[in-house]
Amino acid sequence: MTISMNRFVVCIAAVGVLLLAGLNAATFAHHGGFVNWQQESLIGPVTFVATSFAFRFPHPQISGEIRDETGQVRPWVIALRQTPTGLRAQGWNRTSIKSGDTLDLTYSPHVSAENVGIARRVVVNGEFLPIEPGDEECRTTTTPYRRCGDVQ
Amino acid sequence: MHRVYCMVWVVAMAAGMLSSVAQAVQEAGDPRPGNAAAFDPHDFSGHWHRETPLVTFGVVPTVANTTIAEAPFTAEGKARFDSNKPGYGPRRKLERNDPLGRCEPMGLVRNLVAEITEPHPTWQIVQTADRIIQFFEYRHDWREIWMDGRSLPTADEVYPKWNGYSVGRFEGETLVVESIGLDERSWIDKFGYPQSEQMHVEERYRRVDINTLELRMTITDPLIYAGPWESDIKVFSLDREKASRWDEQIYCVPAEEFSYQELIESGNVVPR
Repeated sequence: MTISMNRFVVCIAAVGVLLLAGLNAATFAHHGGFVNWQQESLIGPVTFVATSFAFRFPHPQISGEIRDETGQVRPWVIALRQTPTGLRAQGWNRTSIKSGDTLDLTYSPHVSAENVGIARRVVVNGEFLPIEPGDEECRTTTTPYRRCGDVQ
Repeated sequence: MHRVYCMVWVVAMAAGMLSSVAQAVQEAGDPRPGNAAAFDPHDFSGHWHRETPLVTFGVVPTVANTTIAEAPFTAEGKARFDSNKPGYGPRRKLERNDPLGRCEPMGLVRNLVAEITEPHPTWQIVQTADRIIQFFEYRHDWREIWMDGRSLPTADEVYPKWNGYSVGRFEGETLVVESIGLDERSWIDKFGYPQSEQMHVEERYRRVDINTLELRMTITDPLIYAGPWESDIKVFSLDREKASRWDEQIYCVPAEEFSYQELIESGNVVPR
């Protein structure tokens, strides 16, 4: 891990400022504001069958289907916080997810649309794919999901 | 009295531990030269990563519950501020009009603030004999600072541009950059602070050590602000590793941006 003294101290200060300010949506902060994820809420793991994967800017999106508790199959869209470049640094590419792949997915839901979420932990056909730097800790389920798929 | 001593001791211990841990982390894994290494204080080349936690021009509006002075608005400035509807901060509104959300350029000051979260809060400086070029990673924008001794044009001589017109000079080890001719459609930060075509921006850069750059900005805009308004000191660290990577080329592409905004705001997926 490479970190400078300055960066370390400033990181501590930044955490304090964010906590004080209550800016819990700051980690997804751009696009002019109002990114409506319930970041504190985690759903899953659920079984998600992919129908397409748009590996594009500003943030990749996975389309697919989830079988709900009544057995009904419903369409779902999952966004990823990182850009394609950021995901590439974590080992992803445009074919990391293909139509028909089965995902074990943990996500934070959208505030109002129940079939939309932001990925927090993704396992594709049994293979764990880290989303953020530091997500390797999330490979096992013993790691609190809270940190997974979020700015570390 | 003992309680006071105890508190002081605890704080001192905590600070000491923090310092030790940070030092250990640095010594264990940081390949960068130490801050005491020799450097040319007139050389600002490189990728600079924002370390300042504040992602606004200054320390207003209030952070947490601290009491901080309001921006020195004129009546016109206050009216424009009120008409700007940011998506962030204490004035954030559902119905917002942040120009960034419309794929408009961010403008000079907002580019310099480098407000975007990891891994994008960086800009790069390239220095030549007569010019300094500054590349802003997010939105793939850039500006030029002429160092050839030319004078800043008057507002009547130029038309407004997103990043304006800039000249620079050294005052000792401080790089002083002055800019005018800025497009008033930009905000100076994501909290909706306005600017007008009368705005003059002074940037003062100082390389504190081989790894650290400080920037302080002063805005003078008589239409919007009753007096000069200073930013806090923005701290940037040199990111040597960035130079080994390909430029991400993050443009704001309307077809992509608006589709994504629709998804994150309403949950609707826009066909594309």
